[in-house]
Amino acid sequence: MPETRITTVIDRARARLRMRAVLGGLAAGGVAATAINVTAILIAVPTAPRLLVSGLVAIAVAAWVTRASGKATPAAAARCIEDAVALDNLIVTAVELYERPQPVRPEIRDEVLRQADARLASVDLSRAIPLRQPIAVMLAVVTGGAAVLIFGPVAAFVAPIGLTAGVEARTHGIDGITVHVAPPPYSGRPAAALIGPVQVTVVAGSRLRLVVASAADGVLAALAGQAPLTLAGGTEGFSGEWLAERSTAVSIQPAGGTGRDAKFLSVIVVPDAPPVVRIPAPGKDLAINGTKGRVVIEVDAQDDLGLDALSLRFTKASGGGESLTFTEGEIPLVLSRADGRHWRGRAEWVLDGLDLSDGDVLVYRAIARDRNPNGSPVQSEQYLVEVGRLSGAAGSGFALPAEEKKYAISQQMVIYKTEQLIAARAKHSTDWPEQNQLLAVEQRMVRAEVVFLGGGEVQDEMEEAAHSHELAEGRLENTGRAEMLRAINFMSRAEAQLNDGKAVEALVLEREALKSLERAFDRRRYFLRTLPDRSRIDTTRRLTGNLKDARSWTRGRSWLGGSPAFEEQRVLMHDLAAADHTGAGLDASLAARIAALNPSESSLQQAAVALATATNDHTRREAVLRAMEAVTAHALRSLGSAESLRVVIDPLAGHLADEVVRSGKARQ
Amino acid sequence: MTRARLARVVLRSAAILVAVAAAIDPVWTIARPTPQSVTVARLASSDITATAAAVRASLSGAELDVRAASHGRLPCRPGEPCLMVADGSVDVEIPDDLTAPLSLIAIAAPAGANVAVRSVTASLTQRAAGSGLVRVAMVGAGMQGARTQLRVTDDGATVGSAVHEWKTNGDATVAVPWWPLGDGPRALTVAAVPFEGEASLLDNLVEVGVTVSPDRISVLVFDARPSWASTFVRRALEDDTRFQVEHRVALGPSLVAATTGARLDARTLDAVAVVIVGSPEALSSRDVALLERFVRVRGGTLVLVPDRAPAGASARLFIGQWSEHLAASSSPVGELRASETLRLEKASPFDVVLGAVKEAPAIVVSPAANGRIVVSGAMDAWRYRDNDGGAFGRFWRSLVLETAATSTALQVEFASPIAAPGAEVPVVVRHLQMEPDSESTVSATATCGHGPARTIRLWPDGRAGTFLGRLNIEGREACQLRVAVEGGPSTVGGIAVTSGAIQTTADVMAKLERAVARSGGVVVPTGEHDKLAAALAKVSSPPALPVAIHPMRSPWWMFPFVTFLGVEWWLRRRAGLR
Repeated sequence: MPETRITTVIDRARARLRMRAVLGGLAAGGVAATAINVTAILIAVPTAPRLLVSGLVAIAVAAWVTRASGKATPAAAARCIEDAVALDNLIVTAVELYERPQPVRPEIRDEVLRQADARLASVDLSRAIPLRQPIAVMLAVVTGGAAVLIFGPVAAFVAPIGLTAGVEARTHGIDGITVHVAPPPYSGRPAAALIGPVQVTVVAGSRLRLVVASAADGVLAALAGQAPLTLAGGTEGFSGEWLAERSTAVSIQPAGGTGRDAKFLSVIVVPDAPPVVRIPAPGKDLAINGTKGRVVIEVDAQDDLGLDALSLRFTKASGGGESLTFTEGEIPLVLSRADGRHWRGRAEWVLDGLDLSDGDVLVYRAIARDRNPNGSPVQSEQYLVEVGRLSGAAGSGFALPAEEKKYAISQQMVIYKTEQLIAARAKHSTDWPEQNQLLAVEQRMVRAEVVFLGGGEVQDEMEEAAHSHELAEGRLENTGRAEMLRAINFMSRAEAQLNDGKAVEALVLEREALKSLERAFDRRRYFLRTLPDRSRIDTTRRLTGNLKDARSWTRGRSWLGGSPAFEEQRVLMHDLAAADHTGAGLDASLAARIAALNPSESSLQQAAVALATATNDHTRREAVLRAMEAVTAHALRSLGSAESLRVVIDPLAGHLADEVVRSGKARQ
Repeated sequence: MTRARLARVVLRSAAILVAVAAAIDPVWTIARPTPQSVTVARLASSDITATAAAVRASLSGAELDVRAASHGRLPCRPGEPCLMVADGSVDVEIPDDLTAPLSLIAIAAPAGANVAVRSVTASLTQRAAGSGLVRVAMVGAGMQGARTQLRVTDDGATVGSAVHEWKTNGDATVAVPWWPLGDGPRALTVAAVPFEGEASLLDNLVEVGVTVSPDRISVLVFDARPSWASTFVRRALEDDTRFQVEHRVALGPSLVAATTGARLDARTLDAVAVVIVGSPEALSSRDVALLERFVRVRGGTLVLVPDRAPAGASARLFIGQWSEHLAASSSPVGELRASETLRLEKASPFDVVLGAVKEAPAIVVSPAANGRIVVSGAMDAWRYRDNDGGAFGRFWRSLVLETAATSTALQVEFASPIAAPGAEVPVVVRHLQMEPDSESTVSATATCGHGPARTIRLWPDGRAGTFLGRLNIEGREACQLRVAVEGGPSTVGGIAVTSGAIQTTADVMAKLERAVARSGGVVVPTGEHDKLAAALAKVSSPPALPVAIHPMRSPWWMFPFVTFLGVEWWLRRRAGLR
């Protein structure tokens, strides 16, 4: 009986010991998990790995602490009871006798068991082995750990604010960027929202709305080459919008933040390209032998965004000289639209009803317009249809009108005569100069006629020739005139050579004059030519100035100072070099400064994007190197060219040359 | 006497002899040759232990003392045989006081694909507002079809780069455009970017010094009558911030158009570096005399831009026989095109021909006394300037930049544009004047980095207006030298300072080989060390020195002494004696 009571009490004590060990393990595991969670939250470890690691560590620590608490053996239970209630090792002895039977006399054994049983009747196990405290500790730890899990991430960012009176809240970064793109309606492209972009490409005229998520008091957005964008706070963050008309780089920075807190956004604006329109058929000038006929015309037009209209128009030039009249008209076109961006048109142009006369000229061209309301219509190349017997060989696509042809023929005749004279040089050994001079007279006559055709006298051939390149470039809006002037110039020089008896040299110049005449009398240029007033020579003003009004004058000295952009490039390169060396300052604001050098330069934009998106040291270094190369290429384009010549002269060469000359040895 | 007794006596006597000899300590003198000592200068980045061992084996009996370069000097003293083991990566100053022959073991680059930078040239004076050009001469081995990137860096920033595609192995020259990051002396690092598996990286990099000047080149354009030819040259210069262009054109007998202060007089010609003259045939005799003095005495550059054949007083400015040629079509004249040309009958050996038509010189730089006269025979090149891709403007800007470098009124020229810390660099100051005999006081102040300004003493040279000085490079930062003429011009020269390689490995090896040749030594490649013995034998062997020999002072005598006594004692005990 006594043994039964002792066993029961000891078993209960062991159960409490086991419970206490488990509670201690749980508390230790909870502490470890909480500590790991707090550390992970502070260093911004993502939630999933944070929970996984802390859970595993908690289990490991709990198991270890539970195991380290020792086994709940009967002896250990007895010791715990003895520690709590002073029983003079009676319980320990009884358990020992009970667990490991010893060679003890039965009466002593029974007496020990009896006394132990009697004493155990008054023992309160909840006092001997208390569980309240471990349970409370465990609950406190678990509650604290759960609080860290639930509120930790938020508290970690919010807690520092306002804890200390008089200390400013720390600067917040940019938590996210969203760019809403609303392309111009005519583009037909859908609106889009881009989340966290580094670079966006939009059609010119798109409206961009920038939304920035940040806990800062405000956000600044600087646009390269444009006014700063004002970002107003709202429910979705700070937002602002602008009309994208040219490429730019945007540096987005929280108020009071540094470059490291900034974000970079490259905006590439693609301008709306004008339509491309051409006439593939007939694709050449035509000449018809008569005033009636039918011309099949095909038109092809394309646009990058979409076409709006395509038409075929013509101009009829009738009459001649002072009575030249022009009539405009449109040719009906049958359109087939492959899609909105590619149209084809076909027309069968019946000439019968145009009331044409012999010698009339029809000029036709296709005109396309895209959907951009601010765009201009684009015209195709113009083609001619010459009408009547004066048009020459029908369908040849090239013939000179009779009046102009005369001059070319005349020049050809001069060439022919010069060739004949050179071939018969032996026969003209005595009168060679005279024969040359006779040809010079003919050349002068042809030249005089061409000068008259060109609209008047050429006052200064040299000066006119000086402007010939400007004519060719279209600055004086008359390319034909440039060829005329060249022809006149060549004729003058040929005449001079003939006067000197140099027929061979003159022949080269005569042929050049003929080539220029043929180019000048290209019929498209002839028929469509307009002679602007400002390029006409006002002969009435000749010799009308007053010599007394002539004064010396002082030219203003042009001052070309240092360019701020150049200095910015230099500073930028120094910053890039420092960033490459130390890694300092390598942030979005640096990328924005690179892109801002020229937002429309793709190499700079790409370098800036690479810099803003670099994630490790290797890519950062590559990006810095690329950025330096891009800035260098940009700077080299804007700077004066390097020396292409190398002139190396020995300092003593001059004296030596003089000495050689003096001694008569030079240039032997 | 028994045999045993005899043995004991002999042994005892021998021991006594040793003891007596030790007490006497006899000495005698012999003449022994001194072993040869050779200093091995380690001028290589790689380990030379194996080479030193091979040399030691081939020079039996010689003592080798391997030393590294110290303070940029060859670690050899006067009189001692010196053997340099070099791969070109370590540049040293060769002392002038070496008397023994120098020898060189040239460590060849490892076999395999390799790019070596042979030389780098850059314009010494670079304008801040313009780009520069670095010409890099390379040699490639096993590079056919490969590409090499060349990079120019200034203070860690890449300021220029170019890519060369190797069509064949061998030599190649690449022009790398670069731009200045700042004013003053700059040390540019020019590198052929290494590729994977490159045989040697020692020869990929070199540093060059360039002085970036913010000053503008002063140019006077003078037209004795309006001239298209000079007008377009002037416009090409006026649009560039590197030039300060003054202009004066005579419109009529008493009519001129000019910038403020632009005159053809001695005061103006003293200040300008280059004078460009249009329509020279209209120059007066006085103008011609003044321009002639500007060239011959002042040392300026005169550029004649005629539009017709030489005539009048100015004909004597055209050096040589020039004739006019008119052609129907234009043809290339150097970098320009022209149809109306002036051609020089025959260029002198001193002329620099910049453009020719049918092998006849048309654009010629002729040195004349202190200066030079440039004649542009491409008379109507201005007509073709819009169809040449900008070559017209580039040519004239380049010509003025190149010739102005030697005709600026005040010039500072260092012996080398880049130097190592601690070096002493000679400097030449030239003051060009129309009246060189007039007195002038020139002062020079040097500043190295952020250090204090120091006055540099300048000594007059034999030539008028030329002064010599020496600048000690203190510290590791660039030095600037401010030179001012009292009541005249002032300028700033500079020298870059670097601890890096300022010579290519090829240049270093060539320098060492020249030193070896001067001293009478030999150059041998690695592995042919036997030839060294003969070369070092030429070095007069040191005289044999008398050496005192004390034979009994060796501790080894204790061994026979103890042995003799021990055996003698053992024999006695064996015989039953005491």
